Amino acid sequence: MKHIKYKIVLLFLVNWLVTFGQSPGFCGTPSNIPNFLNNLNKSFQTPQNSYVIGIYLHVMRTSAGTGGQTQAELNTAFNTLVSDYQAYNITFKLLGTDIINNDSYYSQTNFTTDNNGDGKFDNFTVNTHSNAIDIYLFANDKLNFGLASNIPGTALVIGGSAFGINLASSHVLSHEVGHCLGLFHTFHGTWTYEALGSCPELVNGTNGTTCGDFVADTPADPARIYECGTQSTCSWNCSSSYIDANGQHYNPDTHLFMAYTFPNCMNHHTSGQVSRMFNTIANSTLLSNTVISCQTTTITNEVFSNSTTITDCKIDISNSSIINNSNVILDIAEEATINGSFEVQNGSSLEIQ
Amino acid sequence: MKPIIILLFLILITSLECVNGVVLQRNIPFGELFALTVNKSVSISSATNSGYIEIYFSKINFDSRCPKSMCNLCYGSTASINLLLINKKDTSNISLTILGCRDEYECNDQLYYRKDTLGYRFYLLRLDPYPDGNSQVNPIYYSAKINIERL
Repeated sequence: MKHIKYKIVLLFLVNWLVTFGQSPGFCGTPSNIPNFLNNLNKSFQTPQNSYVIGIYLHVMRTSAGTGGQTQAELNTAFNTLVSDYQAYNITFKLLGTDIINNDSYYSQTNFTTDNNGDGKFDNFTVNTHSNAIDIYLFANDKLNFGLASNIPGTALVIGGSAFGINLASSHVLSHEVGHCLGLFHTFHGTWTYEALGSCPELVNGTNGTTCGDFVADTPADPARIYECGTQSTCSWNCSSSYIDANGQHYNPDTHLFMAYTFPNCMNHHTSGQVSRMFNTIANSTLLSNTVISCQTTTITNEVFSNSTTITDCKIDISNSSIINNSNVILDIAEEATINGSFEVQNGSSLEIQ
Repeated sequence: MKPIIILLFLILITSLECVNGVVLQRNIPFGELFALTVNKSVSISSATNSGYIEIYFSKINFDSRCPKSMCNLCYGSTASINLLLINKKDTSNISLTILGCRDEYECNDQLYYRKDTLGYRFYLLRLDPYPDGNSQVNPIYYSAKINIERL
């Protein structure tokens, strides 16, 4: 009888272990992308005052040529990117656009980030360009994320939606380009899956250049703002819940492009982030290959009767006019020069960015 | 005596199902965490009220969570599931979303994963398996950790 009791106890013990003894399934492999600027073997190159970066836009469609981003969405994506970076003297020149009609690519969801050092995704190299950042715009019902190939890198994919916003034509495109140009998430080093526990940034900023996102003037950011935020007001509601190693409460910037904030809340980089991007562009061979040397577009005796955007490092325009309620945007990196007569008819406009 | 022990053991293993440490039961009180796999249902009731609802995990809408090794480079990263809420003769679709690049949410966080609708607060706290980026997860293998409270 004693032997039977022992068996019963053993059975219950086995059952308890089966029921409650399972691992909760933590199997993450925290990524740990090295700090590029800390690992330079060559002498440090001083950056220019401004950069023009070449980009290619790739529109993904089905083999039948259906689906994907419209031309209007493509224009919005490009204009959003240009607008988001113009204040920082980084301009993007559209070197070309293509449409990739392929069912397999159209539905692809798995992308292997750059491990071979060419700046592109290792398993997705369709129509890549070594002299540009390749931007693949997926349909509004695909992906539901944006992903850069590396930090720094020269490719990104983006598509689908998050928080009710189509990502491809949102500021999230600028977020992914920020990765390509050398920026980490603002909560890097603190969040579980961002260099696991390695180097949380302190609220007082004393380790701002060596921990977190390696940028001193971005406030320490403990987590993902959108998980505890209000989209309509771009506010973060968890200050009381998160404290750093010194017991200080975090107060992250909910408007940084590189934060995990809502797409509609993203509106700026800090000067430290801009400096980091410039240093990365100057010192990354991959990114240097995408830099377009300063060129000048010369326009003479032109009558603009449709709205248009002209992008170049310098633009010289003379003896021209804008008619028919058109809006002409000169998107320049360095300077615009207007010579001779230049007429803008009533209802039309000239904008210099 | 041996057949009784075997019988006891069989009763135990058939009455309890376990997913990620959470016991699957047929009757769950409101406010108690439970796990549910695709194509399975539970009934949820209140100790103070004779009414109950049934919850059926009908499908995964999509799983776009970035593989954890790529979280450094990713923005977005969400998954969405669909539940059927059966309340007497009424049936409603409930879509719940969970963000990627983390394992499990805590119920006391005021976070993004919860939805208030039809008089209930739904929490999707965890969704397994987490995609590894190498292969698609068979939709029938998903298991969700859920909590439902009355509002």
